[in-house]
Amino acid sequence: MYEVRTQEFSGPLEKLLELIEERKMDVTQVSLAAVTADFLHYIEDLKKELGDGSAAQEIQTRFLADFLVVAAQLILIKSKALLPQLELSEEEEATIQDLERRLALYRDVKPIFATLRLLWTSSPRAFTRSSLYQFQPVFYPPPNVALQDLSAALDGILNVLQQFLIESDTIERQLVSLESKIDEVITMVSASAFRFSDITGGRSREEIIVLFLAVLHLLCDRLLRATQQKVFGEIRVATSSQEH
Amino acid sequence: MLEAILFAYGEPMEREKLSTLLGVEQETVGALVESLKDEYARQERGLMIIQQQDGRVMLATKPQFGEIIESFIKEELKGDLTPAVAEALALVSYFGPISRAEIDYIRGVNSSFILRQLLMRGLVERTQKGHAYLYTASVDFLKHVGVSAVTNLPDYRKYQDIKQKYFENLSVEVTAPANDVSGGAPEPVPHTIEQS
Repeated sequence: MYEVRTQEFSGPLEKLLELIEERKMDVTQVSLAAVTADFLHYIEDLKKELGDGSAAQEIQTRFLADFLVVAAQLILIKSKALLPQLELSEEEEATIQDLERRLALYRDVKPIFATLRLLWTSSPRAFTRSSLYQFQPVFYPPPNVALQDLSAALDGILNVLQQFLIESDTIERQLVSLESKIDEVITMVSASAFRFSDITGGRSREEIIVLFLAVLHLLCDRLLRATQQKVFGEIRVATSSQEH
Repeated sequence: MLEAILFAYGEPMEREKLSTLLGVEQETVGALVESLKDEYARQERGLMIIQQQDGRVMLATKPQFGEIIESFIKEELKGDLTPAVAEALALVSYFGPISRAEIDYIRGVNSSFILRQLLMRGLVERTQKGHAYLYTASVDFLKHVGVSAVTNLPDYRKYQDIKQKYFENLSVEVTAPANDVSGGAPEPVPHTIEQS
């Protein structure tokens, strides 16, 4: 799972502390200014490491957001270091102090993380006795239960379950073959010209549709002629030689 | 009788319940628990009392016998903790009850996902206080690290002092974002840190 991957990476405070301690410095504005560039590089590397992909995006964004907050604070500190005459607002000063404090707090609290990991893996554990430890599942019917009762109960359950079974009936699908309809039309028209509405009586919808298709086919093959006086009007079907 | 009740119950029991069962005041329950603890402190006793931060107690074996018990009771293997899990768990156990906002402040990263994991694994418990949730270490956690109460974690007091020192002068309010992915109710902005 992607979120798990971000757990492998150090958070911004941890990274910052790492960078400062690498240089054997204390947590001060000076040291923070010194490591700003490295920290920004780290963020770039992180972006590459975390990779792309839409699923990764949201998590990557959230994870990096924490870094950007710190980065912004660092840049402020660095600016002040480079331009001593720079006047910062009260809020900006407070932000800088906050970073220093958070970093120092992290440094001072950090040992408990290692302690906990050690305790977790190497400390012998305590055991407790859960109250149901003894109890094994046992079939425990009341005294006046007879076989018929159990049987009736089971039938009852099955009846209830029936309701949930999806009813399936075999529906016979009438497949109307185009070829047979074409044959039909040819037979009919050979006998005499006809009007389409005359041959639709008593037929199913599917049949009528396929009949119509048959007529269109034969028209296409120029085996028939058809005329229609107006839109949606009667269609007269005849062979080339017949009278319309 | 306290011993018998705790043995049979097999789960952490609240002080109120004990007070009702034993037919005494809650303060007396406290005294009884302490005297039972003293009794167990004797070397030859094999049991100890695990106590959660809200006062619930249960019986457990002493960790020094853990190895031999492990030889016949197969519990889950002790895998290593990922750094993120270790951080969150350490903060909850040393500084609990603690809110997610405070955890985020100290760690410097968003901890919603981790806390949800820990909740699901049963290592951490959550209670509601006002609009926020406070996280504490669970009995399972205590059993796993063989510690009878979080106050008995190595250098517990020292870290309470450290935390106090930093949060004392905090003028900046620790704020929590609107969506808590750990599955809790939205924590309001702003959220002030309370002195323990």
